[in-house]
Formats: sequence, structure tokens, C-alpha cells
Amino acid sequence: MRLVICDTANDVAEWAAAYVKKRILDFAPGPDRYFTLGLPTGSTPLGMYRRLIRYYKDGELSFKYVKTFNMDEYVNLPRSHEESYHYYMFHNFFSHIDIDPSNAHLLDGNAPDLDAECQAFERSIREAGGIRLFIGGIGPDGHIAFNEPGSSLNSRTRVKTLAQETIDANSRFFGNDKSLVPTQALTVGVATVMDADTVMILVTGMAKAFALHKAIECGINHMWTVSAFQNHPQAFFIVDDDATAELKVKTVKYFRGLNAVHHQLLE
Amino acid sequence: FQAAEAGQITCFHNCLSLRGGRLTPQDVWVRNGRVLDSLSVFYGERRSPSKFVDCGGHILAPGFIDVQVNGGLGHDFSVIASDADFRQSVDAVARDLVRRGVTAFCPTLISCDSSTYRRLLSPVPPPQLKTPGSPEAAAVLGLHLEGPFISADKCGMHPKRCTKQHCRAGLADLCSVYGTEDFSQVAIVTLAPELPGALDAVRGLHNLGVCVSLGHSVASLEIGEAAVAAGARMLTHLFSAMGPFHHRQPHLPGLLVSEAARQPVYYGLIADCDHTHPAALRLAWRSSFPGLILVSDACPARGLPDGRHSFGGVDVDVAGGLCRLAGLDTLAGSMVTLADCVQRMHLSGVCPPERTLEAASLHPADMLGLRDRGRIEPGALADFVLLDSDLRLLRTFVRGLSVVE
Repeated sequence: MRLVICDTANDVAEWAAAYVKKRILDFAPGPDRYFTLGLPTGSTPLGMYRRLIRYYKDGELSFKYVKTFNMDEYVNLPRSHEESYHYYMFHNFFSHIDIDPSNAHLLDGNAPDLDAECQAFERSIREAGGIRLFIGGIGPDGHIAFNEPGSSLNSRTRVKTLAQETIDANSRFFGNDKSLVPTQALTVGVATVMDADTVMILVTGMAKAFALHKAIECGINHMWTVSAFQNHPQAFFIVDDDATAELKVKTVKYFRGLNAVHHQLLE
Repeated sequence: FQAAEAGQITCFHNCLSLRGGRLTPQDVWVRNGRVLDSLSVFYGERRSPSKFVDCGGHILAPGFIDVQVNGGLGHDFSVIASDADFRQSVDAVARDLVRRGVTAFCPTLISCDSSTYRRLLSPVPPPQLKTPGSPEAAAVLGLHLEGPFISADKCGMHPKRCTKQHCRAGLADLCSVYGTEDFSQVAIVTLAPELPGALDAVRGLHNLGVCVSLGHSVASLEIGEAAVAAGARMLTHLFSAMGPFHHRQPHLPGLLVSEAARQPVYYGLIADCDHTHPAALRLAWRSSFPGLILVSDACPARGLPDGRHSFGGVDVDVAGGLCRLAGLDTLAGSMVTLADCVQRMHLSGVCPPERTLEAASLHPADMLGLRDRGRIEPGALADFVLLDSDLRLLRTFVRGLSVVE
């Protein structure tokens, strides 16, 4: 595991975008050779998306031969709803870049058969040759995608019922009307992400500090699902200074000492 | 016109587009002249734009809709030799207006002799005056017949001899003066509701789908409320040519805050800041924003140099950006376009830019029941204006195509 400690959330976004760009360019994708990218939503990756759009607009990066797979989506929420992940991805990323719409894969939370939809998603990842780089964020309770505490670390893409806490927290996005808040979501499993060649987890802010501590300084535990990536051969945590607040001084010193090495990953 | 290949998607990007009342940094996708639900096209059809229009970070708003235009460039809509002649005048003005941000308008006739209306409206079947609009010419939404059933005391610059002081037989009297029973080419009729028979006429016009506007009137608020109950939807140039707001008798301006009117009453405002003091604009906006409609009330001399011109057969003097009856102080329409009004309204600081833009597009469209104009939303016509942050007009697009300057 690598832990890249940046000063600010802005630097995290910068680092993550630069790494994505480097990976795509190094891969040299083409018509017979697509780069595959796993993508998250939420506030943490927004800055990374903005920088990736900037790379595209400046002619430094193209997504023409990139296939994307999103982590999750609510069940029974119209995709045009402002809180849907279809909406988020379209307005914050896809509509600003040159990706072919048929290469942007999202789980359809309105599919008639949700189990079949989940299986088809796993199949399309396999058919694309697996995911080269999966980017994720984490929740304050250490969840990755909608793999909430207690999710099996061997889970694959499936329907998940949301924790009451998540529903309560989400109600502010639905006019504080809990009856409108989705209660289920489709999500990739922990094992789906584990299959990726590289996993890059972005963690920013004091609110995520304890989750980061549980993820990397304690044992692998399904109550903190992101801790599973301790077993991944190539996992990165890109974090800001605030997110390290609960880590041991020794841990922070060790990884800060490796900053120069980490920087070489971008060159 | 220059047809983009059918089915091709054009993306207006790098803009602040007016959507749902907000200026958002959202791209606008257009296909076959209409705005697309871009998200559905992307995920549903799996298609994306092949043509891009860089808006340079400017504001993209719906094309302006002017429901009161008396003419322009010397073309006088109230002086009609024949319906062919009228259509030529309207076309000349439509070609000019579209380059000035107005993508749809209502040619307006002030009070005329019955013979004038008859020349235009009596032929059977009536001439097709409405047009859908193109990048070459603004759409014609239908006529605005301002008069002649108006108060002789508030006729402003309308020729008093042309005004009619009653319509006791209701709609039948209007039909006989206008010379037709077919109102398919008429969008708006302005009348004074206090005239005998006027409320019956309002009901009759409303049933025919014509928008009735109240104006050139001394009506009390109570009569105004009765007219609104009968179907009237608008006030013609609020404050001008109507009884003033008095604390014991609020007259027609009282309709802005009337409890009796169940829906907001629309009102035209000539926001050239000459006809209406900014304080009056502010009063209207604060009382009833949803009804605000900016109009130019442009006179036939609009676009011509200072000097002696004519309007509705009478002489007018143009000087210093104002048009007055010759030798008198009476204003005879304005010398501005709706785009000028939008800018002046904005500079007056009366209301936020989004609201000013809606008053020149969404509100007139809603008043006329045009669901595919005056808004940028899926299915609407792709008629846009591009404006800088001072709401100065930069470019006009009709059906997604640039209007040639």
C-alpha cells in the first residue's frame, strides 16, 4: 500500500488527476485498446474531475478510447434527478469531455430486473478486460461505494439496502422528505474493486480521519470495508493533511518521507 | 435556411445558460432546431454532439419576445395599403429585429379607421400573417390590436377620431369594426374595460383564444377585476394611459396587488426609462414580478435619424432618442428595441439579470400560451440571445443557427 500525503484537498485533486492522466497516456489507448477506469461520485473527487476536464480542453488528454465504470447508483431514482449519479457524472464530467457515450457505463437503478442488471455490469467489466484503475472515496464509517459496514469483503455487484443513517443524511438533498429518499442502491462489491489492477482511494478532511486510521492502521475488518485494500497488490491512498489527524506520528513520518518516491509515479 | 444536417447535435458550451430561472454553467444541446434533454440523449441514445459553438463564457438566454411593436425603419403597421403591403412591412421589421435579439414579436396596430382593419382582415380566408421565424426574420406571433375600443380621455397619441366609445353588442361590435369574425391572426387585443359592453367583448375574445389586455383606460380597480374575471390577462404599458394608483382608487395599476385576481395579471412595461421612471419599475417589480413583461412599444421611426416622421398618419418629431407628437409633449412610442430595454432595465438595478431576462422571454411566452418559446428546456425552440454580463446583445441564434449580422 502507498499513502500519499498532500498538504490540501486541492493538492489531492491535482495529484489524482495527474496520476490518471499519466496512466492513460502510458497505456497509449487506441481503437483496439481501451483504457478502463472505475469512477466514484461525491464531493471528494469533484476537484479531480475538474482537472481532468482541463487536461482535455488543453488538448493534453483524450477519453476517446477510455471506458468508464461507475461504482454505484440509487434504485428507483430517475436518472435526470439532480441527486442521481447519472446526473452527477454527466454534468460534472462526461458532458465536458470527448468520451463516447456507449463507453460510459453506469448501473441502471431503474432496470426491471436489478439482479440481472448487476450481473450484466460485472460481465461488461470482464468483457472490457477488467479495470486498470479504480478510483474511490470513502465514507466516515469507512465504506467504499455502498459497501456499508458489515458488507462481505468478497461481495460482487449487487442491490444493497441503505443504512438508516445514510437515508437520514441524504434527506437534506430531497427537501428533507424522507419518503423521497432512495432506500436501496446498486453497488459494485468490495471484490469487484479488488479485481482492478490499481486502486486509488481519495480521502480528504478531518471527518474522514478516523476512517483512514481504521483503514490502514488496524486489521482488515468488514466493519470498515475499505480496510480490505490492505490485501490489494497495488493500492494507493491519496490524502490531505487533515485526513491524517488520527494516524500515528510514526505512520505519517514514514510516508511523508516517501513523498519524493511517490512523486516519481507522476513522471 | 442553412440546414444543419438533420439529426446532428450542436452543443452550445462555455456559457451561463438561463435554466429554470437560474444562470447555470450548463451546456445546451440542440438538434433539428430544438433544445435537447442532453442527459437522456447521452445515456439513452448514446449520442453526443458533433458540432460545437463556443459561447465565450457569456450568458445564453431565450430569444426576446416583444408583444408591442408598432413598426420600425419607417414601416408603420398602422398605415396599410393592402395586406400584401402590410406583410412586406412586417417582414422588413422582422428581418431587422432578429438581428437585434428579438426572435418573435406581435406587430401592433394603434387605433385605426375601420377601413384599415378591413383591408387587412376582411379577405376570406384571412391572409396568413403569423410566421414561425427563421435566422433571417423574427417570428410573427399574431397581431396586437391596440384599440380602437379605448377611452377618449386616455387615448395618448392614438387619433381620437378613430376610437370607439362603446361595444354594447360585445364581440359583435368588435367583429364589425375589425371586419372579421376570424381572430386566428390576432394574438392580443387592447381595450378599455369600462366601455359599455367591454366585459362581454372580453369574454368573447377570451373564448376565441385571444389574449385580452387592458389599457388606454380610466377604469376603476373594480372594473379591472371584473375584466380579469372575464378573462383579461394583461395590462398594456402599465402606468401609461391609465388612471393612476391613488390610495382610495387604485385604478388598473391596483391589479398588480389585487386579491381578486387569482393568477398574476401580466403587465407590459416600456423599460426605456423615459416612459417609466426607475422608481415605477421598481414598484411594479416588487409588487408583482411574475407578471412583468418588458415591451419596446417601438414606433415606426425606430431606427431612423432625428427629424419629422409619421406614425399612424400623424406627424411625430424624433429628437434625443424620444418620439413625440409634432409640437406636443405626448410620447408616441419609443425609439428602442427590446434588447435596449433589457439593458436599461438591468443598468437601472431594479432586479437581478435572470428576472430581467425572463420578463423579456418567459413571461410573454407564458402569457400567450407558447410552451416552446421563451425558455431553454427540452423540446423548446432553440432561439437564443448571447449577452455579456451587462446584458449587452452579442449574437442571436434562431433554431440553433447564428443570425447573420
